[in-house]
Amino acid sequence: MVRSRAPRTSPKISEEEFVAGAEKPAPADRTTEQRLAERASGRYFQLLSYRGTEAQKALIDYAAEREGTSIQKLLEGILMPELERRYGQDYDTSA
Amino acid sequence: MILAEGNQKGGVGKSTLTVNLAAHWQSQGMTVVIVEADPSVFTVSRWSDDRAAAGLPTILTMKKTGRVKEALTELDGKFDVVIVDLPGKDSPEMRSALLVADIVLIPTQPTQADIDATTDLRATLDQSAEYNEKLTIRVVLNRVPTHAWSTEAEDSRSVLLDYYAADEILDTVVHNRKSFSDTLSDGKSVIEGTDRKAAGEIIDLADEIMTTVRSKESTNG
Repeated sequence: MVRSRAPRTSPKISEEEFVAGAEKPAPADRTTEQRLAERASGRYFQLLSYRGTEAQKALIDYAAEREGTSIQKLLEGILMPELERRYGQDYDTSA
Repeated sequence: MILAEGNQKGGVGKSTLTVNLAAHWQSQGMTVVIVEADPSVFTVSRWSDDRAAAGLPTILTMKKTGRVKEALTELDGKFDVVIVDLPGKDSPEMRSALLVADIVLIPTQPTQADIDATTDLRATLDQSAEYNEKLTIRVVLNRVPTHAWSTEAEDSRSVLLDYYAADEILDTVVHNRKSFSDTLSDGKSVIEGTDRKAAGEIIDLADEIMTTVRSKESTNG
């Protein structure tokens, strides 16, 4: 006997609510990692000019050297996951 | 029979399968109507116009968007086969068609994007079945590469089995053949063309769909 492996879904709503459900915006239900990867695909260009102190610059240089990576990759790897975690679900451009 | 053809993604080959299935069933003596339910795409109606211009037997095609449930029910009483070509997205057309369809055919190409869309569709299909107990779900692998060493079809089938029962994935596989696009642009079906392999695939697909629906009808009395 073959059966569907998919779980049954939610409690029943009216037919009209079911049909109208297609017109609602899709929920931002993708994971942070999925959004992060999709937002990182595309053309890279100069986003901003970041201002800071000598000490902050020195810390950035030190961190990049210790990680063996570029400043661009270091900052992107720290900044974007945190932005996605905090705000990405509310600004899911694929939804 | 109401056959709904849909997926949550465009470009899976719905319209091509629609016109070819319609032409085959009509050639078998059935009365067929195609309902083009995509407000932004005119593939089927243009094909129908090309067909009429070429002097080929016409197939009744009509445009209907929005809530299509009542229109499909009415047509079902007048035609042997009602095929509704749905938009390539979750839409009121798709959901309202699923409320009355006997079978939903979900074409999917063996690509990650298509398989993802097809698996994402599962929840909506299950929800539809709560309103329409007669609904039969079938997935067909479409535009599969023809080269012998291709594993895309089997790889895709393997992934789909995590979401669809084995009998919900049709045995018939439709391959990526140039004859499908060539005949479409001439207002023909592959049944009326020279590619016997393509024609054979459409005949097999049509037979598998019809057997499925009739089997379910006889089971349900």
